[in-house]
Amino acid sequence: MHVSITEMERETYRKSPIHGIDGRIKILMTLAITIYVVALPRMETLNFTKLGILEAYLLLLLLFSKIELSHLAARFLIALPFGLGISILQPFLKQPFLNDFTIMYRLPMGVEVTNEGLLYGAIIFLKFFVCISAVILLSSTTSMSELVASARRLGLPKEMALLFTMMVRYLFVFWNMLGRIRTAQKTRCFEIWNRKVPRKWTLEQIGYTISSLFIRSYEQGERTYQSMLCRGYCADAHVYVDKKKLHITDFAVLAITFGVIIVTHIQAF
Amino acid sequence: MNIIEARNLTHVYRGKITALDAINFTARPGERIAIIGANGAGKSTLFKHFNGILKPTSGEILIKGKCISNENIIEVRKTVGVVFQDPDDQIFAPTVKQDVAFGPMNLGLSMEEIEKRVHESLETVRLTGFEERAPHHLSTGEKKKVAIAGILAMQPEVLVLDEPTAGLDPGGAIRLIKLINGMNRYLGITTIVSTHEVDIVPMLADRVCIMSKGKIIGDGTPLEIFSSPELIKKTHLRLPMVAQLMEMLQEEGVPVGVKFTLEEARDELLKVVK
Amino acid sequence: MHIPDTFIPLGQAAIYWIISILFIARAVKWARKDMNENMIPLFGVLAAGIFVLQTINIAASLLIPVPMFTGVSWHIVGAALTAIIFASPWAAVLLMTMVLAIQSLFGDGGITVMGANILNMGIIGGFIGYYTFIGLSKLSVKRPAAMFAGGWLSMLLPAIALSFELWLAGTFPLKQGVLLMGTFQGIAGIGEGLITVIVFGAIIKARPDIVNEGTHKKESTAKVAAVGIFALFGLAAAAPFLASGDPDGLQQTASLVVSSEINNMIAPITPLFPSYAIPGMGDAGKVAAIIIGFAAILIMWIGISRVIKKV
Repeated sequence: MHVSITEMERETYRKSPIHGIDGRIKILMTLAITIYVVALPRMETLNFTKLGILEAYLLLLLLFSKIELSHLAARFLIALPFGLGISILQPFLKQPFLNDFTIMYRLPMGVEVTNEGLLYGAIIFLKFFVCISAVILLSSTTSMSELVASARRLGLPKEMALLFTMMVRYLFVFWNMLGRIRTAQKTRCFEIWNRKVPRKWTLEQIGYTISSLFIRSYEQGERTYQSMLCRGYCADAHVYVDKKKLHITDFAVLAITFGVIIVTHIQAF
Repeated sequence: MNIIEARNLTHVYRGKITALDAINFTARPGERIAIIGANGAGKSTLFKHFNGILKPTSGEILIKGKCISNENIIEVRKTVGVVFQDPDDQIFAPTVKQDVAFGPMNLGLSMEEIEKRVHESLETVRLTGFEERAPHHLSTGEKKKVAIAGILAMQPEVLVLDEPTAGLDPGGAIRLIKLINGMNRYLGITTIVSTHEVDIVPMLADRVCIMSKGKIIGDGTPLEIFSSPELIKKTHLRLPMVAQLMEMLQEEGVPVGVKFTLEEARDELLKVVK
Repeated sequence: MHIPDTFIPLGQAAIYWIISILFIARAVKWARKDMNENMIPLFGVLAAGIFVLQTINIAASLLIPVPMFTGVSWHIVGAALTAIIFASPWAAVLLMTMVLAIQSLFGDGGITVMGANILNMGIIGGFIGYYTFIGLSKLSVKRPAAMFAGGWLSMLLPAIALSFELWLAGTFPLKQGVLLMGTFQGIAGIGEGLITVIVFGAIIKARPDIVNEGTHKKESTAKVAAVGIFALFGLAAAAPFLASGDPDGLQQTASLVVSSEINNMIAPITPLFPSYAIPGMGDAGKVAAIIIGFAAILIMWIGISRVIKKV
């Protein structure tokens, strides 16, 4: 399963109410939800309701954002493995912050499945899932350049903003460059699983591909830097980020999100 | 038998942009073909179908009478070699020799055979002695030749070149055209070249296909193609400079026929002068 | 090996963030001042290149020719590589930070835990990778071998650090974590080391001016020793927890944690402290014993390098 950055960028060009929300608001929303979820206690059954509400809210927003379902599925699939792996092992582990364990099943070789482990595994997986949903909502409805500009407006230091602005600009250039390099290699029948050639040789060719991409991006950097110097770039320079007014709807969305978090927290219904 | 045959070849990018629209095209062994068209006409997309880099959305493409499949893909890429526009995309190894050996290695040939092929292909493109040079220090023209040698080393029957003269100085362009013609004449390789530089077309093709908006709208000898001005106009191209001059002379009442290459034009004008 | 959100509690995640921000700030300063010219634009463009070259798949079967691994692939991280090329671990810190930030948009590594990920892959990976290379070069180890070791440790040590972070977070048991992540990254590290050597060789051939070789030679032994001591202290403090009263276990993990050469060097010293403990000092004794052991190795190491230099 693979999602290319160009596919991701394409989704961000759609038109929807969610795409229209200011980047700053979406960054703050994502941070608020993520931090709240991470801060939830480890072992509380109430978490299920809370996480359920938040996930429902995020899915609702994703629904409004008109993102292609297949794209969403792919995004979730590539993000899941590591977290899923660690969550799945939890029922078999004795969590150090717990003292009493109720054993549900005994498996061969002394492996025991505990009630508490299962609960903890389920909660941590759901928490993880909600966080992933939040970041996918953010990154599939906001283009990378908008994200960087918004981060700058939110106070990202000017050097970091310049670094990220240039990175995002050239990400697509090098992505396409790698695509063309791969095509040219395919034309000459290169295949990393090819058994007809020595493994060392294949490894070397991959190394050369990497070094050629490295040198080409280094040289692009040199040229870009020189052209920036020609236009008066100096150490105090910073990227231009236009002032953008926040609309009533933006504040409304932010308020609703915080409202959802507060309601979720006190479960006032 | 046709070496390449496209039947109703259609390619639609992302379900939206039709890059190729029901193309019918054939290439017979030994032909010299130029495919001309403005930027975005679909030339590069068509070329990527010739060796199975892209799969048709509909229609089919036959290489030596066989459909491209996973089983024969290696055979197809050995038969049809594609040289892309930017040689830096193709050349990635630290030395010229290693890069030219890349294709033959992938085919699983013996070391002696690889050595032999590298030597021969570098000889063909007149780069003998460049074996240990770093591609990085080569000129654009030399890089183009290394890229061609890299494909030649796979001993293709068809050589497809995408905008081969782009970025070359006039002298380099002429040398490259001679090289392409030489490979056609002496090695019997079918050559298919895409370009929008109409002046060079009569020099490197016996047959010209005009592409516009994903369709082939004209197919014939350079004489036939350049004799239909409305076809040329439609595609944002122009007649070769020589032909334009001859046309202007005709309008002034000079009794000359329209010619497309310098040599033909010289002979035609000499007839009038003498 | 990117830690996702929720696998480290907020408080601990904040500590990792603070450490990382200090390092990032220093790295930005380095890029702006320490060079003759401003490197910020160059690094902005290069970070994009590093992100893209991290998507180049390398078949796992190239390292382990087992049919089971068909279809499994990994990719290069490049912390050691970039640090060695620019002759500074700060280059790795800056580039890895940027790459990790963009990766987190893909859900690859979390937002609250980005500090931990930067700490592991950028800071530990960059510093260990670079100073292993410099230290071994000073010991007259051949360049490819020193570079391979740097690349390998730049993968292995972050995995150990990650296991400790997850253990401190209560998310994953220590021994299993070290064994699992250590094995995984130890194998991937072989690939990282090999690729680092190949890529460096190709770059220095095409653009020798990019590589700051002069700085490699000028790097002071004190700096290497400082990083070495820091890393060894970390390992020494960590080792007893792994050993947990089981000397065999310690032996086993020591060979996992430290490269086999160092392990061989420990062997003659061990009789001094039976079971890696100073009698009558309990767990603290174990820590002390190992620190003393490592310090002894370090002194020997510096001594040997002096002798080699004179000869």
